[in-house]
Amino acid sequence: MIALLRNPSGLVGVLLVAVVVAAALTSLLWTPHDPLIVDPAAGWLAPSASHLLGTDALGRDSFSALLVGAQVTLGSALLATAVAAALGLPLAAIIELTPPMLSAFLQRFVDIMIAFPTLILAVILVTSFGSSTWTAAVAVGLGASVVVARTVAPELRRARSSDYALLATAAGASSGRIMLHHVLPNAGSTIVVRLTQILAGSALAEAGLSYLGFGTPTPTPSWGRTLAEMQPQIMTRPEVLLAPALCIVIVVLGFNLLGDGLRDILDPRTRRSTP
Amino acid sequence: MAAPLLCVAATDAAPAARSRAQRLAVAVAQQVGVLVASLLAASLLIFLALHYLPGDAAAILAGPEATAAQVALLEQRLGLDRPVAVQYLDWVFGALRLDLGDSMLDGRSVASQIGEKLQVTVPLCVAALLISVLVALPLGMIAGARHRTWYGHLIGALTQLGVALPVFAVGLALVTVVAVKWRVLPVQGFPPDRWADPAGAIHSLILPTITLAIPLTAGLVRFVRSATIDIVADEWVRTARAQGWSIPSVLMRQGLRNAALPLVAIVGLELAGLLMGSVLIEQVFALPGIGQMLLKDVGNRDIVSVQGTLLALTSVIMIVTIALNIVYTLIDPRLRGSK
Amino acid sequence: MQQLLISNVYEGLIAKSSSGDYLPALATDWTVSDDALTYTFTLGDATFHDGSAVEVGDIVSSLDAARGTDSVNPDAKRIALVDTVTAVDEDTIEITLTDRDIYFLDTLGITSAGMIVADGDDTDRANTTNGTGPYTVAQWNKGSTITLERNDAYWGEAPLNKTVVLHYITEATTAMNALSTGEIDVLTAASAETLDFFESDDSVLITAGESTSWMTLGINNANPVLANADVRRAINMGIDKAGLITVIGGNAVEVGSMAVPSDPWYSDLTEINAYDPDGARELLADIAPTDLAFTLTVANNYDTKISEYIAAQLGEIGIAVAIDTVEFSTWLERAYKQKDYDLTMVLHVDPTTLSYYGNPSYYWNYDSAEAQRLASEAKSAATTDERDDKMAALAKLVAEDAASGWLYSPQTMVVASTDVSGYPVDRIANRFPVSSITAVN
Repeated sequence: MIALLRNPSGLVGVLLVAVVVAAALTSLLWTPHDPLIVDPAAGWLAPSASHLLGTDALGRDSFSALLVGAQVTLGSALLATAVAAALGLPLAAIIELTPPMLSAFLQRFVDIMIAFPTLILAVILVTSFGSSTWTAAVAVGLGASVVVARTVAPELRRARSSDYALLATAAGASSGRIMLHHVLPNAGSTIVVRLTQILAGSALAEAGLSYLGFGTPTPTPSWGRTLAEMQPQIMTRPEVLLAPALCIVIVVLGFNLLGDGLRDILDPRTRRSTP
Repeated sequence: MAAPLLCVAATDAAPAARSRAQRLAVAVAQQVGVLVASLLAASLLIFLALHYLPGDAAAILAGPEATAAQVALLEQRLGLDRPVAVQYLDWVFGALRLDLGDSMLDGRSVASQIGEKLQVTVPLCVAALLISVLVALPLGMIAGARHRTWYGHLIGALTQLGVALPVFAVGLALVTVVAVKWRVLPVQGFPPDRWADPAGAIHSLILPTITLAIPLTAGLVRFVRSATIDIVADEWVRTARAQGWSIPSVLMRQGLRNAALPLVAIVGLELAGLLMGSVLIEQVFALPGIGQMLLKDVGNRDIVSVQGTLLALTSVIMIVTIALNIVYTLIDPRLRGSK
Repeated sequence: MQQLLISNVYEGLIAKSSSGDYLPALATDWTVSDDALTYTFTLGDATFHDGSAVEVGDIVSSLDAARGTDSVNPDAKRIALVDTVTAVDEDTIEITLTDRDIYFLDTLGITSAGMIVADGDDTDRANTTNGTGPYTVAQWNKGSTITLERNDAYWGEAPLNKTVVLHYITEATTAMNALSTGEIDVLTAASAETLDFFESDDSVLITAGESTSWMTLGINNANPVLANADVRRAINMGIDKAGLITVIGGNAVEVGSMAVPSDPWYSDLTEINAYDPDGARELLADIAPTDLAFTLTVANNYDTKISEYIAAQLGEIGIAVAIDTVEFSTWLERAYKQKDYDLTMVLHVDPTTLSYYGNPSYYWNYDSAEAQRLASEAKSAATTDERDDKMAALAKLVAEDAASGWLYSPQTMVVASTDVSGYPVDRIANRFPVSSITAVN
């Protein structure tokens, strides 16, 4: 952890993510106003001490909505990444453990799933199971799981051909056992870095889905949907689009930098090349 | 990140005696076999996922005022009343003959629709990819070779930002400034006659291409940069430098060659991501491309059109990936016969 | 799509002006018998796009196809009262009805059930058109643009322009930008933000067109709780419609029922179940001591502000509303077809929708003997005055009964560059005739 804070990317990443986490946690307990209270008479108020970022057309406090939006973004990014890891890592292990022909088939299948647009997957899931932040997050996670499988498999292969694993094989350990005890820990740092990047990607994907109307349903505040809802104001009140866009950038940037920092301190190959 | 990211279908350890041509033939045959099996699996998945969506094209086509009998009649005409297995097999056998059927809504051939829409999406994606490779290679190498300088840091920071920006927000901002304020490029759409009006078509694609290229370039710069950092730190590069070679010339001679393979792999992986990005961009710029077509067709439950488009897309991406794999198997001795 | 083809590419025996008058089209003249069961049309000298003359056989076959038992015409229901279509001689057609239908001329003039195509025409209608209208479809980029080109051999008055390109733009912002840069000349159904933006711009002209449309709060009358008219009244009383109109940016009028001021049967019914949250709470206190909870099922093509507003307002009178946003297809299947919903929201655009309150199997599940009587009497009315009386009574009945909620009637705002003129502005939801659009300079 200290090493992470000494790393410039890591430090900025930790700070940015901390801001978002703090916003999400705060909003669980308190927001300046109830973000769902509608008061048309107070529509489109300019920023003030009471409404830090003003209000929207329905008179709802924009700042409170942004705080609650942090919950949605973090929650869905975590869920999506969990799904991606839960499916992608075993899939990568299976690809590495199965006989060549089956493995080749699995790999092609993974490739096909990568080619399958996450967006369409999300639309299908949302239509079948009803729209919710979580359905969209699962769709994003499913889409990311194959990317995890594809990028982690070569790492497993490398770790498997390491001296350690070869020794264990020579000693007669089963391949499953080697995978668990030698290969996974060895490839662990890469996996952690990969998953941090998936967190960033998932946050961006949630925003994109919500922007298109297939993510977080109304009235729960979501940064992507707020952007979509505010879009018509772009010529008349461009400032109202800035805050949600900035929030998305902050969270994605935060996770990506955190990933870079982790890679720098965890991966011996790049440790020396820390910028 | 310097390691090849592509998983290559393992070929059985080939006897060294086999000629290059034989190896190629075996590799191609295996890849094609696996491809067909995977595509069949994909087609089943696509079909089932779409089949069980609530709502159907018949109801949309019949309109809100239709009677139940009318809807039933339309379902019959569209073949929606047949058993699921029959519908699937009919579609797959059609697809094998390259016949993707006709749209359920307007009766136009799905294949020709895809052809029309690809005239927008393919140039968009290819141009964005080209631009990003052309920009990312030099920029990434500079940033990597000089990663401790101020501009090395600046490039590093900018790419971080580039990866984090939501494409739809970038698109909106570009439209507002370049198209609306400066009025130099069109705001939306594509010439009705498509490429019969090449100047118009290119004009329409400039802003979308830039929007799509930004996150792509940023991602590639990051990759090239870290690859370059690794290379520069390598022993032989140090030796070469000690012998008086300049960093750029070492990079050009050796680094580029070493980085090219993983770069090709990354580009292959990005191809799929590009399509997702292009859906958003086509939405922002009202471009009649394949992504917009997919969204509309799913909305209208034009299942024949959706599954045909998805199958065509996955096939194209698969064929590109497989072609890359074969090239890879031939070029990279480390991957050949190893697993 | 239909909105564009009707009267531009395809035509009926008659047409309707934007002010609501019936005009000759393929038929030069027509008479209606005293019992309003027999319509006689005299055919003019119209031609199809392929040059062949329109003959009585084409009319008979087109109308027969539209009303046939295997018809999939979206407006087939409207032509269902036709008993026979006969060619009396080579330019006279006689149509008899089984029952009086005061909307019959509308059906022939402005719905797809009345459009005429050549008999035995095997044109591939997915790719080409062979209508009788002033335009042909030169090009169609699905979901993007339609290019209409003047049919130089048009039998009627020639259109004033050569080519009209219609763009289909889903994002209001994109449309606004396209107009401001001159990529498009006319923007129909402009959003409130677009109007704000162009308010002080001299190069565009904003026109409020007459429209017949209602943002309707559909209430499932078959729901055990909502079957109670007092609960429905409370819902109507709980929503401040003036506030809602402010929220959506104005450009809409309050209505108390499914009638707009331009309807001949209109009377101001906004005082019935008017906004009164205290009254609503009192009504609810008598019948529902516990809190009520409903789901508002909304298709995702409407502005989310509207559903959010309704949910918030009803929350204040003690009705918890969960919003379920679904795709239009899903909405059509669940809410409209299976009637599996509590509350929903629909923009109805057809003036005759009011008469559907007489249809108990329509998605509202509104089953009122009185409403059914009024609707059928209106349809078989002998005179338009009689029809208008019945319709007015029906509008009042459903308003008092709170069969649905009528949130507002949006005005159609047309924003156009001052370089063009002659574009239609009134009642353009169902058709959009383009033949009189001209460039000013």
